[in-house]
Amino acid sequence: MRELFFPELRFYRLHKMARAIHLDADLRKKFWENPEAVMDEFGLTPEERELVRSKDPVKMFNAGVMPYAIFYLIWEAEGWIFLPPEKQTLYKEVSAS
Amino acid sequence: MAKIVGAYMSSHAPQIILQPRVSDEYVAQLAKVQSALMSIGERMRKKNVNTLIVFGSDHMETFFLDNYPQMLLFIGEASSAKFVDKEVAIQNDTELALHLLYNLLDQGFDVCFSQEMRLDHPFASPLYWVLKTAGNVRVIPFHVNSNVSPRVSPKRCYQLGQAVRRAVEEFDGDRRVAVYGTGGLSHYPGTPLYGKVDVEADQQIIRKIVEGRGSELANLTSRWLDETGNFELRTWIAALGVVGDVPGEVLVYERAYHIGYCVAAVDGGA
Repeated sequence: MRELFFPELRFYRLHKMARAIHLDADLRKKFWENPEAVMDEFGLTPEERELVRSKDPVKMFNAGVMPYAIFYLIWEAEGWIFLPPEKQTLYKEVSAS
Repeated sequence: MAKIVGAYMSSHAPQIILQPRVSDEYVAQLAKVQSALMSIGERMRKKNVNTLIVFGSDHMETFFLDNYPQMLLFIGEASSAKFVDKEVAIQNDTELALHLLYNLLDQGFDVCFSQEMRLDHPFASPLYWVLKTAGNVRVIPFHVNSNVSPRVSPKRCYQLGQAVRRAVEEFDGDRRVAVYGTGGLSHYPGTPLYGKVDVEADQQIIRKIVEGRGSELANLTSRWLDETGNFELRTWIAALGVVGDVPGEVLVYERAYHIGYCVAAVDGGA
């Protein structure tokens, strides 16, 4: 298992933007309206931009993005936290059968 | 003379205050958690607690990667813990906080300090409910890093708790002090395992607390805590280090869709 919560240096800008979106309601609104402009503001690299555009938490995780940044971008900014449980959980219990 | 009168521990998931109505079952589970948190406040009021030291771990919200502390005491006068539209104002016990800082440094714990900080859900979620019923309680926020790697080891967290106890007992003022650990239990936020809850691991932890064997939790490895989604137990371990091996009580355990919700109390310790 990789060191789960280590913030990889190459995602510094993405992490900074995700945190700012979590903390600042105005920025969150701006991100909804124009994500590219917010990504410009934080100077995201092409790799970071592609991950943010994907809106895919598994892809982000597998690339090494910090889980809390993923939580801020997907469960919070995308509103997953308000979805029915089966729509926001990624892990499905494997049945015994 | 200051004395320790109890340790309390609970989950701090933001949903506890955000209260998303994602299913009837979940709404009922949150209600149980909230009611247990308010009963913790009641216990504190009955014990005339003046000051609550809260071990909580930032999640890259209060602090960022420009400067990330492992342990940090808030010694400023007041702060507020916020999550979205919910806010909890806290008044610090600055006299005791400053004593703790100096005393812990003398004991070999090189704790950082802050005089101005904005707190987030690790403090807001439980305190929003606990402080409703706790009476007039001052709060000393104590960040112990469990969420941004590398992190404080479980053993060191327990030793920190023991050192906090010594520091409180050496304080030359009249205080009844309780401690609180926030986080857990099993959950995997922001990962492909979101939705998994290691109930068996949670039950093992609960058993240790109920049987008054909290010191054994200090031997858990960081790896085991990560694998079972219990990395935030570090804050509980610190709180248990303060009271020592006194049998505790579990007020609620609910396996929700994304977390094992738990609220626990060790009323003894003094």
